[in-house]
Amino acid sequence: MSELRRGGAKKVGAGQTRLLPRSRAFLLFLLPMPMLLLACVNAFSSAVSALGYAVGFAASMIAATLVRKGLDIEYEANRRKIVRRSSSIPYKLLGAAVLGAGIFAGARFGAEIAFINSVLLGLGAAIGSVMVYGTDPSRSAPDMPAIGVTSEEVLEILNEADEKILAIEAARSRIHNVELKDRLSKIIIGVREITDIVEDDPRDLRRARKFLKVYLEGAQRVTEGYADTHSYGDTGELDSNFRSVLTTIETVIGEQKQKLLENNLTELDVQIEVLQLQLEKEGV
Amino acid sequence: MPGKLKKMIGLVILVYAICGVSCVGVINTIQGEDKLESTR
Repeated sequence: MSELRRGGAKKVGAGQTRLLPRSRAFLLFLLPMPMLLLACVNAFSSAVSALGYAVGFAASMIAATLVRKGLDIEYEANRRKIVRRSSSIPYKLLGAAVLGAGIFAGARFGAEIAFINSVLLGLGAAIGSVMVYGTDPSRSAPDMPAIGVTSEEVLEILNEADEKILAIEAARSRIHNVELKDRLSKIIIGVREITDIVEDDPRDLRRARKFLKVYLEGAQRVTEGYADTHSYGDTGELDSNFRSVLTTIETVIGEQKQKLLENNLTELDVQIEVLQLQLEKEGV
Repeated sequence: MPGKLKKMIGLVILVYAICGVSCVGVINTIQGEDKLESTR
């Protein structure tokens, strides 16, 4: 199953994939915990102090959530070869600012530290957060060749295709027939090859759009339907029907791949021809 | 500055700032209770 995994995986070499490290900002959720305890303990002796700690803790939790959201957006942007236009809200910077304010509140009103030292602690927390978790990715529109679709559209179709592949994988795991499982594995690998081709050169999306949107959805529905019903009893006819559908899907995948590769070759042919003509005309 | 070193320094500053507040708070709370005890 591991070779079929795609979610969060990045291609690093021929056939090799590795999971990208995904920071989830656990530290920002964990470190302020004592402030909650201190708020509870001080609630009976000093209301201002307890309030200071409570505000500090709440702000730290909000900051951690914001930073986590920023990290998720960055992770999603880095996962694909195509760059997505990043969010217009700088979540990580906002999180660092809220954390700084929270630590200042906790230090000044909770721990009753001198004003200037509290400011320094707040600044330290904000700067530290930026240094550890970084800043938000660039918000400028990514470069995309003029292909009639935006990078957002390409990513949306690829993400939808990924979801359908995962659904087929999930349905595959519920099927017990080894032969059908193997055929589905090969189908999944074939579909991933197609999505990889599109990801490498989004111009191919025009030719693969129907496959990724319509045929893949059909394949997903059929596989899920088979996985749901095949365990109910005598499924001889259902099995043979499903086999014939799989054969059709395999054929379509093969044709689609061939079409994409042939197109690349044609483009290369045209480029070579143009270059040849140019050289003949202009010379050196 | 290499990325890893920057991250490590940031981590130290972050832990110092957040834990510093908590540590001072714990000390203050203990001292406050001690004062209360001695007053009694």
